[in-house]
Amino acid sequence: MELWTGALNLGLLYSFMAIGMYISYKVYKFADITADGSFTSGAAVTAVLIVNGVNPYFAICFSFLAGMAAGSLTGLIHTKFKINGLLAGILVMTGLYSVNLRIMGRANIPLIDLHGFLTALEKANPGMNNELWTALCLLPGIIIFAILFALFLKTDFGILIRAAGNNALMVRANGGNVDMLIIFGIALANGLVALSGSLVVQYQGFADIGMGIGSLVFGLASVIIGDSLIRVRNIYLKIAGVVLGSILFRLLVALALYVGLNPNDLKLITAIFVFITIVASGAFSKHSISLRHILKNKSSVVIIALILITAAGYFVSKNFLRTPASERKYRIGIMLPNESEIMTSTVNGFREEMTRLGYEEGRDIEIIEQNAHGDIPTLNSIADNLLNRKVDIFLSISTQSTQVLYKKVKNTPVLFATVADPFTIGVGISDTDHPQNITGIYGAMPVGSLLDIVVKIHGEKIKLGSIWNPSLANSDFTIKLLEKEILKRENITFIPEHINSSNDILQASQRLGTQSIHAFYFVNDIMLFAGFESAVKISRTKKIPIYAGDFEKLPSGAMITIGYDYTAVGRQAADKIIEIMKGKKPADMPYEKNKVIITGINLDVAKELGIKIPDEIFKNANMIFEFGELKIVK
Amino acid sequence: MIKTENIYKIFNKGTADEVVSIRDTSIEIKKGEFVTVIGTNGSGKTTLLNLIAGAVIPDSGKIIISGNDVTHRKDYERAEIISRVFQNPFSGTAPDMTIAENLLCAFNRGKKHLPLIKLNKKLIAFFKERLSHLEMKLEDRIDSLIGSLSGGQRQAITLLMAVINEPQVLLLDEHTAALDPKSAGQIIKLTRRFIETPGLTVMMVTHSMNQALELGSRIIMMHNGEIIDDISGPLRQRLTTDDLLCKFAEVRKKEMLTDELFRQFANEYI
Ligand SMILES: Nc1ncnc2c1ncn2[C@@H]1O[C@H](COP(=O)(O)OP(=O)(O)OP(=O)(O)O)[C@@H](O)[C@H]1O
Ligand SMILES: [Mg+2]
Repeated sequence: MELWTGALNLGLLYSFMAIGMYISYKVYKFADITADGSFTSGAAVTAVLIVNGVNPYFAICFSFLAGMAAGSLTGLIHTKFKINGLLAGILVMTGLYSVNLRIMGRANIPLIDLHGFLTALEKANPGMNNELWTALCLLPGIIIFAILFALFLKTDFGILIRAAGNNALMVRANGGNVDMLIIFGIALANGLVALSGSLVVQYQGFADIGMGIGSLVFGLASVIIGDSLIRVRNIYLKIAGVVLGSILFRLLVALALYVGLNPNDLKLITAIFVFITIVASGAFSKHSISLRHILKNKSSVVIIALILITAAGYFVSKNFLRTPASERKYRIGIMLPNESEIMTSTVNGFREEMTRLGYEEGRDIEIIEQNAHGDIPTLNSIADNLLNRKVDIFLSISTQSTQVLYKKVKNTPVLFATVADPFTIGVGISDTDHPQNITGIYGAMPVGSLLDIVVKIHGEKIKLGSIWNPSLANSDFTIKLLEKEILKRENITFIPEHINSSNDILQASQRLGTQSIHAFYFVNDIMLFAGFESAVKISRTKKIPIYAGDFEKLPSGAMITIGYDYTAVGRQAADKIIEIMKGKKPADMPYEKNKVIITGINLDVAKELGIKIPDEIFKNANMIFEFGELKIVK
Repeated sequence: MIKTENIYKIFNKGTADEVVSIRDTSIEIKKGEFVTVIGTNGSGKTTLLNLIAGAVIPDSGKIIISGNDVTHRKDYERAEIISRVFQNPFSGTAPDMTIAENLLCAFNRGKKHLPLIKLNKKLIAFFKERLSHLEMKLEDRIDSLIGSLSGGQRQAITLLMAVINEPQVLLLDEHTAALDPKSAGQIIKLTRRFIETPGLTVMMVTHSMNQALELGSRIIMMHNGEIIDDISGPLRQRLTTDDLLCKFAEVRKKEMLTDELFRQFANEYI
């Protein structure tokens, strides 16, 4: 049930975006990728305003205006500078990424326990299922908005806007300023996209810099589904179709998860689906009259496709997913936001430890593992799906998963792991004072131990350089932690080089290389690791050793690695889950810190750079890389 | 009413494709005059109309309409006074919108297009009445999409849109050239009817010498970006197709056109 109502709510919240895309795509025939940026802008503005105590309804209005500003910029570039619409959109979207990051100040802002527009609604809930109640409240609001919007399109001004997208020459000849009309239309479209962003943030309880990625295609999918279902010319029904398209699209996503499709394939499926629908609609309207007779029109094709998918889903779920009640095993739902090494190591450690302790998957326990592969809205759907599958416990890997689950799950136990700091996201106040259904294992990078080692090798007075990408939650958090720790020690100068993507790593490393730093610290992050090789190049030529957080980087050229052993974190999680299986309550279980720190040394690199590793560090190392081979020493 | 002073329009200035479309052209057209414009292909007829409408801005010179210097005003800013019908019957109407919605855009020409719903029963009745003048039974299809109509029907609607809120200037650029002879005849009939409004100034470009002689009170002949002849008054009344051919012959001598080109010329115009 949660799966479907959750998807319904997402569909309703995203329907403003779909209506916006209807303007840009259907009225102005222009796939406006500004949406990917303006969605996040709406989210960012709302998150920052709400955190600063602004009334959430004002926050929604400001988000709308922010989206309009972004859209009018795209419109302006497109009309006044005669730049192709797609290109104009790409330009603005790219620029917005930095602007959004400036607005937010960091990659992720939690809104837990702050007042959003939904908080008031939740308070008024007469005891219904929360998602259902939210849907019941949202529905009339959206119906009223859709009617008003359709009415707007029927006014003289609305007619002129539509005409401007249809025949610009005719509008000019009749006194319409086509450029202004297009700018206004694109601004309005992006205002609505940002409005969706604002609402989704309040619904899911946090804003994330990456949450707008894919908005364009998802919005188009909604518009196209709606358009193929509603084949009449009535504007009210057309707008209703777009809202319906948005809901159906989210239901399709939920269905795909329910059937057990890999969420990663979802984007491919969406792209293919949109492609086929566009091609099919073109084919039906122009040629194949005979086909048309058989299938009547494309709405029936979409309906048939939906029915087929639903039937397939039902069949699969009936036959493969459901286990008879008597045989029902303890069901563990694992939720991951992406495939970074620390996340997957945690899960591997967990799985191995469960097996070692005699809990065999399939025999004693059931594990459902779902990965959002970097797409935040999918985390919501995964949570809904796991709730729907009635998991007995959630294993929540990472901060984002935990934020989603904290908001959605009130009764099922949640065990988080590989979270840097649960208190900054509002999940609890101290290790013992925390939500009754949640417990977990946390710990940020052991930056103190890192600095100790650096000082032991290079002496007291040193320069430490690092690369800092503020749009990556991990990188940002670790660098700030490091800065704090360095403040405590007088003689260390810290030089963080600012970058925007992994493509900048080579240049940033070169800049660090010219600043005569003694040590180069490379933060653990899946995105940053993509550019690790370029840092190694500079390390070799400039004779600057690299310190990294993950021992997997020893063979690639890091001199020292120091970081938590995430497989050990996974093992800790297994112990905890077994305790909960045996009846212990999360409320009675204090949060725990990550326990095992792994230190690794690459002696080949040390020799090459002419650096002597003090005996004390050598003795404490867990991993040694020498003569091209990695050895575990303890 | 309309006055141009030494206007020049050069396209692709400074490139190999440079074309002087309008060269030092001055003309004055009085209120209520009906001017037909003839000339060879590429002689600058469309450009002259576009300059007057504001779709093209001159490189130098002045354009004065109703005593106001409008040289640098955009076409949509001049639409209050000027309405246009294009050669392409698909240019003047929005295909994915209904007949009523298209008429509404024209009805609001020169006024503010406000976010209010003006398209009520009364206005629709008025539109239907106007549509009935076209004698194409379009009043029964007022909610059909324009895209479902024929070229002739669309051109008739464009013409109706051009006159629906009584403009002061009407610019017709070969508005029958893309139609079959029957539809062209119909459109000419309608044109005659609609221009009867007193005080309406009309410029009509045409390729048909008969049309040029049948309609209007003044003929302008263009060649190579210049007005080479301008005939009005009693002289215009007596003008015949033979006279016009003589004029072309003069052009031929002046420009030293080959005989073949001249024949092509004559064929095209009669
Ligand atoms: N937008 C433009 N860009 C470049 N050249 C142009 C443009 N518009 C017109 N021209 C050129 O200006 C000249 C005059 O063109 P114009 O369309 O005014 O001629 P016309 O008398 O209307 O011809 P036709 O009888 O073929 O319609 C032509 O040589 C044409 O190629
Ligand atoms: Mg022309």
